[in-house]
Amino acid sequence: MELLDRYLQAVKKHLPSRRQDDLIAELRANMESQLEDKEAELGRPLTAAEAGDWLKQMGSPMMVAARYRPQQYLIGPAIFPIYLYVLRMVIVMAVIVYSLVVAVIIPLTAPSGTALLAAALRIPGILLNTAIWVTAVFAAIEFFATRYPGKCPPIDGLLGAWSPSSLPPLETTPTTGRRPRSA
Amino acid sequence: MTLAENLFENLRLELRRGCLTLAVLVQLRQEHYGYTLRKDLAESGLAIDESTLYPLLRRLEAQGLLVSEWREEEKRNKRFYRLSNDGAQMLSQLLEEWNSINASIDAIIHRGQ
Repeated sequence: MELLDRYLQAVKKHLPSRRQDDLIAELRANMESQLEDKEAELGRPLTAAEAGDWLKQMGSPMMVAARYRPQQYLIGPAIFPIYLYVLRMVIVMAVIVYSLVVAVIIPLTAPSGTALLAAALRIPGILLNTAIWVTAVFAAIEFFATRYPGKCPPIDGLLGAWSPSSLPPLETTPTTGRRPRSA
Repeated sequence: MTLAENLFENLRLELRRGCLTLAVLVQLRQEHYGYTLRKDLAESGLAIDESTLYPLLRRLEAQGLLVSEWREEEKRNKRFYRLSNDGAQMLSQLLEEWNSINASIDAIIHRGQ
């Protein structure tokens, strides 16, 4: 069936090249068997509309192909908490360092309101740049951790390495774990 | 879809995910290729999407729980899967787990009544 060929061709485009021929051959055999069953049941070939409905039910080619890959993340759930923590720290530090530099340099060069304003206007760009770099580094870590699972230090180990005794002391007004006052 | 239906669908998918793996492993004590496996499971009341089942077979094979071979049958080349030795061992462990979960849930339900 021409429509099935076109469908499989579209699925194939989204499959990893090393496995695509094998995967498509299997999918084709399965789908052709199903088609045969359908046509035997009806006692006639599928109409164009019926074939369309059938393929529609299978799902879009990109989605079908995607199912053959492991779930992919830019930054996966295992390292996301660390990412968020580092991102926050780095952004705060970037702002502090930049403010210090500005505080030293502006009085030395041209102490004016416009210079100060210009320096302030540069902050969003600096934050964006910082965030992009942190994200890129973590995306790279995620990529290598999934590509070479055995060769990376276990990420859970990083998160798991803590000891109860190193928890910070209780704050004077406990903010967590308080029992809600009953009405 | 309403919010409640959506939530039900999510929870149902989560609940089914492990059960489907179990059903596939049980069914593959006998050799099958993708389509007949899917048909048999559907006849037993467990309908699985093609786009879920076929990749699942590949994953289970990559994990060493299934073995497969290409063979011609009815003038068509098909990939037949069956449980490997490791898979059989894993299946008996999983079935034990399944039974114990079932028993616990039952016990919790009946204690509540």
